[in-house]
Amino acid sequence: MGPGYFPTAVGSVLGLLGLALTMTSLSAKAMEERIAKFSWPTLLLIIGPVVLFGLMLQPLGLILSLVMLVITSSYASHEFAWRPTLLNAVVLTVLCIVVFVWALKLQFPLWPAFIGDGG
Amino acid sequence: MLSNLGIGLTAVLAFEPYALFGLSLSLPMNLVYCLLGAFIGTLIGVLPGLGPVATIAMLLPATFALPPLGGLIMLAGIYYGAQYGGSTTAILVNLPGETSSVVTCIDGYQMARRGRAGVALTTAALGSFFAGCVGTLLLAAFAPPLAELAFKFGPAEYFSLMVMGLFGAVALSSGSLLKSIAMICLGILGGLVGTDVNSGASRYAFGIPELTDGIGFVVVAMGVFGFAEVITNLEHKEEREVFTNNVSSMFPTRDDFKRMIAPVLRGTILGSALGILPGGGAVLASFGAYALEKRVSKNSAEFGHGAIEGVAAPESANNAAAQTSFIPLLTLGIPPNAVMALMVGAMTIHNIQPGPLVMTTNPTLFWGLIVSMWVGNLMLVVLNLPLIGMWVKLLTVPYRYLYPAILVFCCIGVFSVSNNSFDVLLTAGFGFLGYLFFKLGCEGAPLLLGFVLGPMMEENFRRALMISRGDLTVFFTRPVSLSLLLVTAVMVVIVALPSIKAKREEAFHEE
Repeated sequence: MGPGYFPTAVGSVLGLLGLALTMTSLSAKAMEERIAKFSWPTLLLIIGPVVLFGLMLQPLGLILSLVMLVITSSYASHEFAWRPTLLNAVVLTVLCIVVFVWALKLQFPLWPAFIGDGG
Repeated sequence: MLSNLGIGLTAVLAFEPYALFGLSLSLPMNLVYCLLGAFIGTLIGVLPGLGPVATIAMLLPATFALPPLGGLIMLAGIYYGAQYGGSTTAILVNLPGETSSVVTCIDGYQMARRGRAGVALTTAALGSFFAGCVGTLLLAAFAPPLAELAFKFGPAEYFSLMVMGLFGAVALSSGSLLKSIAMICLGILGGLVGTDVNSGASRYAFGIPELTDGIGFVVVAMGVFGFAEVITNLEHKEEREVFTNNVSSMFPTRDDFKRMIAPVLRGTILGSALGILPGGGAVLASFGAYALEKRVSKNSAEFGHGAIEGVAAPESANNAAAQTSFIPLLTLGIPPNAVMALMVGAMTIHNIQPGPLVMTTNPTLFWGLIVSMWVGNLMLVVLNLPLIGMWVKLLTVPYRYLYPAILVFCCIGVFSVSNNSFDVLLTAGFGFLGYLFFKLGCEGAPLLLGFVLGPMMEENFRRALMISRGDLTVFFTRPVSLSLLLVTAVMVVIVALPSIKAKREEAFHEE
């Protein structure tokens, strides 16, 4: 009963299931299915800004990271326009600071580390 | 039961000093949390494209700062508030604000098109309130005997119970059975990432120090349910037609009331029963109730063209199920659906081990939570009917302003759980995985359930084998454990039968 016992058991079941799924889809009776098309631009414009946010937050602070997140991710929409996006960025950033930093007192660095404040 | 409910009521109504703007006020804080939860829940429920799992995951960090009872009351409020809010969107926009209100769209929207939106909304609210009351009473009545039973369970029984819970969740949900079981296994393995408690060995960490603590379930929930939902929503251009003009006449006629009573009762009974079952929950309850009503109602010809029964039954059912799905969580410590899996996480963070012990070691918390649910349901009716106008306004906010907000709250939420940027990156990874799963027709809910139950399963599995000295037959020789496993086997066989398979697909595509 080492640490690997249970994971190995579950992993084997998973492997068998994968095998079974492959067999059923390769069998003659199986209906042909196609994987729905990926919309790569949307995927990149949503996941990308989140990754950037994770990388930016600690060195550059919450405010800059939030503004970046809102503006870049808004670009994924079909109807992107600068003015409402900027407004949205300002509103959301202020809201977050009021709710999370001021009311809930969560610890965030607000500004880039080299400007000071640190959080 | 009455004295227990009394404990709960005093806990909910207790006044606590609270400093607001430098003033020290004495407020019934738990009532405030309940109101806040119900309000936020409705707000989220009204917005299409943001489900309760993502919402609860997103707001979980915000409740860490609260006392345990307050935090749980607020989370529960969000959950049933979302059921209410979802129906508003379904009726007015023909978009389900929640998956559990998909069927409400059918007749609710038709009622709205005929200028009876107000009546449909009132019907949904009253039906939900009645069902919520019954569900809460059932919870209060069934919890003590079930918890009593749970005390007799050993590790082998617990393991088998969890196996049954997981398979039940799959059997009752839509989608491919094999794929869903595979998702459970994947979830269990994901839940095992990190340091093994018994041996200290690091598993699946690949030498990454951040992974040795394991992957937080908030990370998985937000990635798979939050981010992936945003991406899939953005793929489609939005088309909305909001019926805002005729919400004036709110009150159902005497005839409407007459037609409402039986469907509400049937919906409540069905919903309560399905809510307790693993995997049942609100979605299946509303689908089941609609299908049942269509079959037994004497106005069945009117279904699909604005039958009031088609709104009353599923709305009562989903709210009843939302309440009774707390029963397995609070008594056995086993979450029957993805939302309850998050509640397990919330309780663990507040240092409460969900299970039969909660009732005896922490009666104020247990009964306080139950009473708060009833109070919350009352608040929803009192609040929401007058506030309909505001919710309708909210519906006109385009998605392009909403989704950046969802991303922002997710990112901040994930970061604040551990104060670690690595978790934000991990969530992004799970967002990609969630999108991939969606495209491949694999469901996220079994993954999350497996993720939360995985470590518990392993622990009980090991304990059982420790007691039996490594003899695997222990799961089959103990009568309770054996019967639980047999029930599981029967469920899987039934679902796999071709005739049932077709019926099951039909039930989820009811029109």
